[in-house]
Amino acid sequence: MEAAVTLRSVSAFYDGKPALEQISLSFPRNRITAVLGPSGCGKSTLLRAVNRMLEEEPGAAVQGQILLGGNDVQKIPVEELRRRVGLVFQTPTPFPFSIYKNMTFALRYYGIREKVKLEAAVREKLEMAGLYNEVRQELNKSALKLSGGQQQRLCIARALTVEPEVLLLDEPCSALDVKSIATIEAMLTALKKRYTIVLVTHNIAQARRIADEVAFFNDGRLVETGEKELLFDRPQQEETRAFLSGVYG
Amino acid sequence: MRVRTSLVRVWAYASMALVLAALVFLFGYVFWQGKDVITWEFLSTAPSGSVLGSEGGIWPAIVGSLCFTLTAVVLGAIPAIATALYLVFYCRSRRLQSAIHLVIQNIAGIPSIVLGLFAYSLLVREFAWGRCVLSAGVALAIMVLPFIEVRAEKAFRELPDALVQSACALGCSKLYTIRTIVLPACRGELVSGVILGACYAMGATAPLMFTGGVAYASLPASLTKPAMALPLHLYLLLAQGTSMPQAYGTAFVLMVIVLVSNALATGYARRRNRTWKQP
Repeated sequence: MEAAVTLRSVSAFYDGKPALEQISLSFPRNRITAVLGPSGCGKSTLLRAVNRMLEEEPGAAVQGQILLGGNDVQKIPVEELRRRVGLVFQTPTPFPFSIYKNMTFALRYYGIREKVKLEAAVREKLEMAGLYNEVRQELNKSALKLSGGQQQRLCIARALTVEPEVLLLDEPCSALDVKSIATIEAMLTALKKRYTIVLVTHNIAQARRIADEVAFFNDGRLVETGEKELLFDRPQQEETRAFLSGVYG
Repeated sequence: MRVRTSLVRVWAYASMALVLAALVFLFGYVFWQGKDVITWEFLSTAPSGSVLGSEGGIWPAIVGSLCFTLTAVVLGAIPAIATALYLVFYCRSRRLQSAIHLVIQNIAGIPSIVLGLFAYSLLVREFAWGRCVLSAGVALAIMVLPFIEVRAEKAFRELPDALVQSACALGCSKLYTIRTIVLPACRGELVSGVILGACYAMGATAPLMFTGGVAYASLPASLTKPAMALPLHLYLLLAQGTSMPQAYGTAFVLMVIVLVSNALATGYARRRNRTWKQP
């Protein structure tokens, strides 16, 4: 299967202390890969290494090679890389503007000014995020007034406005209620037809519900990776078995 | 335990009352001493009298003070806010951050009279700018720079990281993110920091004594002309024993301008915060 993102011996450090050690892994195109593991195992660090956000943190360093569609991310201009690799954070981060302005924020940056184009993009992406029908009458309402689940869907829709190839999601459901989680999971399953999705989570049940591939991390190491059924039903490593059976995590 | 809690509460209330009383007393006392001279004429005319300043008003000093302050704020706030932006959003080296912080703390620690001396020898004498609003403005700008930088940096650091990172994660440049997210979100704190810096500059006498403030001048026509200033006028009225009521009147006007500016700054920051952080 073609890989959208490939990591070759990637290590990451904070002030010289390793946070990720020699990770070699690939995220197949148009699939949902769940990066699973207990808190503090380096899952979020991994995402930030892929879109080169990690490099901007003082004291952080990345080694190894990360390829996006076969090209080294270090050789792609950072703004282009981030346009091609979207990132959605754990807590919803709507900008304190209207819903419409949130959705057109990046488009305006890329020079799109025509109202027709902007409106079409806003509608299309909000529909993809399953939010359009809920907010169509109030696009000028402050995004801060939406519920937590709606805010997170808005953030995903906003990330889609720049047509990324890969969508990285850092525990996007950890702050949400059950109903919102179900909506977002359904949305992600629909979105994988167009995008490659990498979902960081410590929620085993969520990975089981929507992931195609699972990579299990512990202590900054990639313990095991494989198709969901294989990894959940026949884990090869003792650590994975222990995590899946709830011994830790 | 309850007795101790009550004692702490009494102590807290008493301290608050003491601070409030000190402020009210200070204002009341200064106003009372100067009340006979504070009239519309006092505010709107130039000093006069057989000994200049014993009669007449302080209009040139009010305008001069505003000119000095405005020059200082323009010259000080721009590098202060730029430094804060660099430290928070661009500087990745902790060592460089510490070095810049050390420099800023050191500038904040320079006695204002030394800044006056520096501006006098470099700008007034060496560069031959003479005593003028600009020379004094530079001295005052150096004085308010750390004051504004610290507040701006605090405002930038208090912004949620995820908000700024979300914009960068969309592939937008830092400059665009700063222009569209960071500066509007921090506008309240920035404006209030600048106004408070302006109040600080307005009350300073030492930096402008040798650099731009003169005993009696007409309204400043340009940046290259000297001007009067409220604190310097007050100092001269006192030092030369010209007129105590005039001195108290001047002090009261200076205090009112600073207090009103402070109140405006606080009110503005609070209002901006409400609009940006509304649920």
